[in-house]
Amino acid sequence: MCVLFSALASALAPNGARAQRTRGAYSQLFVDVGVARLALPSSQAQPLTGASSNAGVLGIGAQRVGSIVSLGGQLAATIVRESSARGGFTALDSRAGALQATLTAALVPPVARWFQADATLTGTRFGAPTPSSAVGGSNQAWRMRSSAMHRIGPIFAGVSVALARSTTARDDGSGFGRAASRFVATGTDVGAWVGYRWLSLSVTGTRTLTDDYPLVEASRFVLVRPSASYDLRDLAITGSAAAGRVELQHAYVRRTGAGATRGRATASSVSAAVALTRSVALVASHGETLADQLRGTVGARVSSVALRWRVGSRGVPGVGAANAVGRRERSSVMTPTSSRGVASAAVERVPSGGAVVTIRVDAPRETVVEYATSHGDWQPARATFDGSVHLSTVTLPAGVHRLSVRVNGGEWYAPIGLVSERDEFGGSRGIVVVP
Amino acid sequence: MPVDPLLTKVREGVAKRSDPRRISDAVQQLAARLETAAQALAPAFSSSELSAGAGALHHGVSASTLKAYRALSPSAPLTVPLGVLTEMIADGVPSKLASGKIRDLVSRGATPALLIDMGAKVRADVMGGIAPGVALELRSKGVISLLASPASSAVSGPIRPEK
Repeated sequence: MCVLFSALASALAPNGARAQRTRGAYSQLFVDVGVARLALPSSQAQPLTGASSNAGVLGIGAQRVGSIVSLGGQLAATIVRESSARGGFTALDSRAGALQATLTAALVPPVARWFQADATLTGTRFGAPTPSSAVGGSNQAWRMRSSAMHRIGPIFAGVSVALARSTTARDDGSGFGRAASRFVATGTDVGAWVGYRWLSLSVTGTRTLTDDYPLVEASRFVLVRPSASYDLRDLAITGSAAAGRVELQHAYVRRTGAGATRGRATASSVSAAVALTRSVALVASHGETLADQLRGTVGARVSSVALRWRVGSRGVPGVGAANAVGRRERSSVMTPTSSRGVASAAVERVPSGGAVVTIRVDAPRETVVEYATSHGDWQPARATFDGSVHLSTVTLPAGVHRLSVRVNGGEWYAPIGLVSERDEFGGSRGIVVVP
Repeated sequence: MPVDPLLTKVREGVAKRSDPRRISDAVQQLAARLETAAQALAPAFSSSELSAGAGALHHGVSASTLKAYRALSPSAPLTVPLGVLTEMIADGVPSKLASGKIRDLVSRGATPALLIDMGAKVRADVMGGIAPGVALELRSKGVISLLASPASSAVSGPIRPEK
């Protein structure tokens, strides 16, 4: 059942290794409403032939992201309308529902801004909303992660190490909700990520030790011999790109068994977020997820679509911004920074007086890029295409000036690199102070 | 009162294809801010100084703050200090903190170039994830270390902007 949370988390949350970075402190509230289609793969131990379900998902969360301490909480509920799944573990059930609560805290020490420590607590109750339900249980997990990051111009990079531990209890299926089985899993992971402009890539290696043998078997791995714990090694690669109002993410995971566990599995999924307005985004994902020993969920093929509505000062989060607490990445669907098609500006003071502002837009030749300044009485001028980017230079005298850019006749906005302020006409403009 | 800033506002609204009512409202509000700035920066002010003052008022800076700046610099232009103040508030630095820091730096004789440089560093810090207020605290200390104390600054005469 709560496989949905895993799937949506992979669609909506950032990858495991990547810490977040933001511009200043802010608070926000977000609501996700969506639908999903799940299909469980067959397993060697317990065939789940044709198991599939339609589900509704509701998520409500709040975050307070500060420069030193960040806190967040999220409640998510899933209701399955129809299902044919069976299995003695966390699986779909015809009358199942699930509720998950997550608390997250992050710390960025003032004396070491390159470092971030964060911790997450998750509690999940799944299945068995009624005594007649066959499958139910609960999962509690915590995860602690330390990250170090560095930025050199447009390139940012970082590394992280994390430790996680969870307990999963499953009811015995008698219909009385008794906890018949309790399993413990421990995970350690090491990750690294790098980003340049609108692209980012992360690689995470995870080792999970678990005694949840039914789940290991159900995910098509063979138990070579009885063991106190079964060893699974994951290598996950995630790539993401943000351009204008669209953000895309692709994730690939390869899992191999070690020690008393034998087998190999791969899964990949794609996620996309499209900003519809300043506060609403459409988030969709499709792909496979592997069984998650830490969450106690089986693998599944999931297609989901959700609308995200967010109240706060930071616009609509993209693919990877919803569940994260801590510093957000510069790139976001509604607050593009260096994405393709988005303008940037650099100001260079002239020793003899005044300043030269260079406006740059990385966009195809056919794109129409215009800029206007208060000094030029807001007469729009077109930037020229130099073969690879649209460029223009504006000379400004001493004083305080305003500058806006628009692409293909769209909304006027402040280019990246200038302090932005809202104008009185529904757009934004950059401020340039020239000595 | 100069009418150029009002005409520029009209042209901005037209260029941004805004409806006439919205343009009219924006011009009226700007006129009110210019008038407030003129009173606060009296007796002497330039057109650019007045626009910078109106810009600061737009971001919530009080008229009394402008008066305090003028009292601090009766003859030196306040265009750049007010511009940098506006930038900082727009970037998320608390208004009271930014006003106080800029006033302190002006009183110590910070040149426009120094103020602009500090503003750029604060912006870079904020982009890097540091809280705006913390960034200003850090960067203003760096500028202060380059400057004389307020007492010696007062002895050396009024602040002159760099040309």
